[in-house]
Amino acid sequence: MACRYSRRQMLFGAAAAALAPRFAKAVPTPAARVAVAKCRSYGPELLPTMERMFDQIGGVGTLVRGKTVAVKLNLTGAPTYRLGHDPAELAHWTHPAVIGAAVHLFGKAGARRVRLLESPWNTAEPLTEYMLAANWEPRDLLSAANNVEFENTNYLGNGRRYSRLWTPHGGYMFRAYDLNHSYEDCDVFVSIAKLKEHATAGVTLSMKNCFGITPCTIYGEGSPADEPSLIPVGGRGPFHEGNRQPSKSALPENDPTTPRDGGYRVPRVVADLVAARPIHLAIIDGIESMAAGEGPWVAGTHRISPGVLIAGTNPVSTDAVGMAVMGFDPMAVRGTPPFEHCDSTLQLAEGHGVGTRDLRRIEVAGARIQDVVCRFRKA
Amino acid sequence: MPDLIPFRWPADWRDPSKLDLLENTPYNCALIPADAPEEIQTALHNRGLTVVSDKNAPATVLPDPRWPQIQTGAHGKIDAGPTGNPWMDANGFAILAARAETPGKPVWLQEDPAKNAVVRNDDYRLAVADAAAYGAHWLPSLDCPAWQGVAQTETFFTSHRKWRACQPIAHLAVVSDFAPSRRDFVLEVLNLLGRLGTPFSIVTKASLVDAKRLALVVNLDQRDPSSDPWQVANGIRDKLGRRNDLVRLWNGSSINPYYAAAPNGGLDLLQLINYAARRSDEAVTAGVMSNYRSARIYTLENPVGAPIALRSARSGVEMDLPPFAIYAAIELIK
Repeated sequence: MACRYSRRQMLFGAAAAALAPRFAKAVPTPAARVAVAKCRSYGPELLPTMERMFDQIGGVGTLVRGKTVAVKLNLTGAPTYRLGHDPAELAHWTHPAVIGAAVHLFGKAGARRVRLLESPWNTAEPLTEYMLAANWEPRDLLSAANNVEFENTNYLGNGRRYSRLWTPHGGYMFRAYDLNHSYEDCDVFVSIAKLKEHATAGVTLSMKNCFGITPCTIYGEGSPADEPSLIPVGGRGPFHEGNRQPSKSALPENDPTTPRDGGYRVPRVVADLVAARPIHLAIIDGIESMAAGEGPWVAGTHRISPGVLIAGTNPVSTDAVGMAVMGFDPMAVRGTPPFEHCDSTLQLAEGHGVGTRDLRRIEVAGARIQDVVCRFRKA
Repeated sequence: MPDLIPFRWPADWRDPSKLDLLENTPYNCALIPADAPEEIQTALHNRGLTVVSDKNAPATVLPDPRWPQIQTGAHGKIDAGPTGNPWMDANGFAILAARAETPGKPVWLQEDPAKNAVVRNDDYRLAVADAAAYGAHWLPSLDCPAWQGVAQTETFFTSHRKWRACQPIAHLAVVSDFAPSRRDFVLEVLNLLGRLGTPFSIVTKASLVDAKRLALVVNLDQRDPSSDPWQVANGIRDKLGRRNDLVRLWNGSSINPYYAAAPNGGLDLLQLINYAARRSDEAVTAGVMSNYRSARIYTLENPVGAPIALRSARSGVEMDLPPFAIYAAIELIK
């Protein structure tokens, strides 16, 4: 059988790991405390639990007071998809109660404005409409704090132009990404993710959630060759397969000879994105979730109830704790669970200097990992 | 006029004994070619059938119905994105338009599958359901290879005759007089509104008397007929907003819902037509944005019906549907 990668490409892959120590010599890869809490339901226990977790990671007051806080949600797939008969928020979407609690606490801590962001599947309709289609009530989120806004970031949206965010070190895949203005026009960026696996990237946690900050008007299957389309058409297949370049208004990928394989490309795009658009606060909803994939469209997926919340100010460290809670080794590399067919986004982000995935360097506050672990591959 | 349940007599059939195929079926009206042999016409009359010529049918015969199906592109590939919805060829919009144009006049559909198409028995049963759900009749030919299944399906709908009188429940009224110069445009917008999951009722200008229950009235006769129907339909959908949704389906991408009410107000009816014409492995959930006390579901697999549990949802109720291949009707009681 022919080797899928050239020697040069293999070296480029290995360079992800090599980047980390090189970067570490200059600046130690950051580590930050991560709060973990048991939380069995989305009921009254949720808000005090999250408030206590925020306190455990140093409080969010200094982070959000007087600031515009942008919050990336995870509402992947169409709102008409469910895992079985259960609503999306009990499986693959971040639950509105988690979003509402976070928004409320940001408001309470003095945030000037909280902007809820997502790039819904294949549409430029308002985010509130998308939520309604899933039987959510956007007014619940609007009333969770003062000055709450929504924006669909899968296209130009309310901006006059796309914002170009540059990737440190030139990026694994792209030197810069053109994004909806919301990802630049904010002081604080929060990723509220779901604790779940991912068919292509191994895990979906706070970093993989940011794959969805890219507008399909530029990076999607239906984006025109030259300029962005007015509305998004299709998904992010080109990021997965590398079968075409983004619209020429954006920068092309660094090296079009690298593998056209989602397991190679997607983790690198994600690592680039979280380096270009740093996450200040990562919140992972693991109260109710699903195993074996990121959405109902993945064969073999099923519901699980880990009953856990995770939060931290460093996304790599937070995701590392998330992986450990899922029963995986955050130091895992390609070929080992959950990265059997892909590279580790955590390793690649670590290579960008975003943060450490080494549990020995991460202080865990609240519940101990061994007390909340939910082995996704055995659930 | 009695409720005519029509079938087509094949033009090349000369053997009156073939009429035995009608035993134990509800069909009572034969549509024959204008030049059908005298002995065939006599045999049909002697059997007590109403015999009409295809030149003077006492119904609106839709001029260009579609064979109901999930549309496939090259090499049989379903024409949709990876997590998008497939495109369906359906006739509900055209039937509703015909009923609005000539209220009280029966609507018949005469269409056959494409030549050389692979057609399963359930595909023919789908053709019956696609028409009957909206109060019309598909005209099956007596030489249809799935005649028995077709007749059973028509029997099912005949036993629920009262459903035929139901009128659409909608927050959107579309106004048009279907003038020939804009007829194709209007019909395509209606077709696309259906695919966008936007229930509508159709009113002519003369019949637009009570708009109180409506959230939006759109006069398509004032739109430029050269406009892109897809953009027009999307614009209407956006203006109406999802807060005015009446029905939501989850995991039901191959299913068209039709939500209607009995004229006397005693019964609401949610009909679901599955254009895949096969049971899905996926768990389908239906939501209606009104509250009901109880519900009963009827399918071709279970024609006597069974209670279905109602679960309170954020707005209205949700129902976990049992698997069904072609058609389900849920009677909703307030």
